[in-house]
Formats: sequence, structure tokens, C-alpha cells
Amino acid sequence: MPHDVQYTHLAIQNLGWYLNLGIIIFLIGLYGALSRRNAIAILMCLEMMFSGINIMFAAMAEKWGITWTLQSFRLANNVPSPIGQIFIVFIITIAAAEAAIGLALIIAMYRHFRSIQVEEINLLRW
Amino acid sequence: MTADAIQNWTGWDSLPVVHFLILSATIIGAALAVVTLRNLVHAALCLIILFGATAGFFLLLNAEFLAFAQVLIYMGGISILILFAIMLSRKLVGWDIVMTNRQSIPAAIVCMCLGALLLMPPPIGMIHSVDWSPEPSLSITKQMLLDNPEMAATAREYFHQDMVQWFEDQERQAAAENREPIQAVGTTNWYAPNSLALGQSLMSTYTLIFWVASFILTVAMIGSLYIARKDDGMQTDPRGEEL
Repeated sequence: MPHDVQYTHLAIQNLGWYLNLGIIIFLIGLYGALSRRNAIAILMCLEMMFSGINIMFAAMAEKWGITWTLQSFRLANNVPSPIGQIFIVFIITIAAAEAAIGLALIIAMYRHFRSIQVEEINLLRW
Repeated sequence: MTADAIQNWTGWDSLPVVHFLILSATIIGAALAVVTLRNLVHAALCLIILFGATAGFFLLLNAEFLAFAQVLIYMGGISILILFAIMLSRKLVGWDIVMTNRQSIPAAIVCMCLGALLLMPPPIGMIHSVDWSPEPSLSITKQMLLDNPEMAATAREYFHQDMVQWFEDQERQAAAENREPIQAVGTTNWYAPNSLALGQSLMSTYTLIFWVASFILTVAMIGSLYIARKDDGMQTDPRGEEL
């Protein structure tokens, strides 16, 4: 488009607020994951980090993620790509798988060691 | 604070700002509670609040499908999984038990440095050094809609309003305010029905991701069943308890 044509933004104005918030949630989760001793608490903090990243992805998708091309107006089958939201769907799936496997590992760990404090799990430590 | 004052201050409509502030206070409080609470069950309940606030943010960002998926999967599924795992392990509550390890202070320093690196104003911070303003991939003008009735029909269907009418409204407003009217709209900035777009593209362009995700979920389910199953005779429980 030519530079002198005025156009408007109907999307969210302050992307930076959402990015700040997502990063704050991510960092709080990172601190928890680094400092908690309980394996379940570490897993919960990981889920929190995923949530922060998901908020950032959703904000970016809302800002300019859904791209309408000229083709998507000409062909009814050619649809826009909400790529940011597809990322979130994938992250949610991976996080669900990660939580299931992590909690199964924690149950197995508890059965073996009678503890889920991560410092006491030193079977493979040199 | 009136609605106009909020709008002048933030550049937003007032309602999303109020929602944003309430939701961000909720989510940060819940996050701090998850990190600091000594009782794991309370921490898990705060995690459910955090997931709910995340779903609220998705609704605020027009990602309605993801909001309901978040409620179903996280608030319904994963939090129950975490609560079961807590209940299946030994209770470790009490003021004499140290909940953080020796890395606590270095971890806090690392997180603060990372936060400063990301969040500071432009010379240092990485996030705000980037120009996030969107570039339209296609600009639609009123003339394009008038020339191409199919395009106008598609635009009307997708945007839930008559776009020619919208342009005329803009022109009337601009004439009333004695300024240049908006002549084109970058199409990346339109409101789009996100669930429709998400479902159609997951079934067409990005269907490989869909298949890979379902395969990963199957593998994870089988793997977690295998890992968590009871080994008969392999490990004897010293206290003879059933787990």
C-alpha cells in the first residue's frame, strides 16, 4: 500500500502491557521452579510459565496474527491463519502431556524413595 | 475515574482496561501464592485461580476457543491431576520444614536480572526495543469493495458488518471533525471470528500439527500409564503400605 494512505488499527493498542504481564508470570514461575524443593510444586511452576507464554502468544495473535490475504477473499476455502493461536493449541497439548508424564514420574519416584523432595533423589548423581 | 479519563490515559476503551487490571492483579497474586505458599493443596488451588485468569485474558484477546479449552483442560483436567498427585504423596506441611532449597537467593537474582533485561526501557530492555506496530499485509479500500461485490460479501460475512457502510460512517465522522477520512484498513487489524479461522486452518493448512499433537498425547498417555503402574514384587514397601 502507498505510504500516504491513512489506515487504522482496530486491534489492541497496548501490546506492551500483555507482554510485560506474560514475562512477569513467566519469571515468577521460573523463580518457583528454581527454588522449590517439592517436585509437584516445580511442576506447578512449570504450568505457570506456560500460562505466561500463552498470554504473550494470544496478545501477539490478537495484534497482527490473523492475516487476511487477497486470496482469502477470492476463494471461500482459503482461510486466514491464526498462527499464534495454533501455537497456543500446541503448547496446551504439550503441557498436558508433560503434566501427565511428570506426575506419573513423581508417583513412581514417591513409590521408590518415599519422598518427592528433589534433593533426596540422587540415584544417578555422580 | 470516568470512562473518558481511562480512555485518554490508556488509549483503550475503558472496559478492557478495567478487565485487564482486575485480571492482572488476580493472576499476579495467584502466581505469587503458588510460589510462596507452604501448603501444597492451597498452592494447587491458587494455580486453578491462575488458570482461570489466563482464560479470562484469552477472552479479552478474542481467543474464545482457547479460553474454553483452557477452562476444560487446565482448570478441569490438569489441576485435578495435580491434586491427585498431592494426595498420593506424603503430607509435608509445617513451619519447621524448609520449602525452598539453597538456590533460592541466586534464583531470585537470576530472575530479577532476566526481568530487567526483558522489561527495562529501550536501551536495555529487549521487549520494548522492538517495534511491535503491525504491518498490514493487505489494505482494503472502499473502492475495492465497490468494484468487487464478491469481496464485499465475504467481508460482510467475516466481519459481521457492512464494510461499505463502515467506510461511509468513517467519512461522515471525519467530515464532522474536519479531518482527512480513513481511506484504507490494513486487514491484519480487523476483528475476525477466531474460532472459525482456528478450526478451518487446523483442518486445512496446519493439519499436520493436529496429527502430531494427537500422536504425542497418545504416546504420553501410554507412557505415563507404564511409568506409574504398580510393579509387583519389584520394590517392596518397607512399611507395607498400599499406595
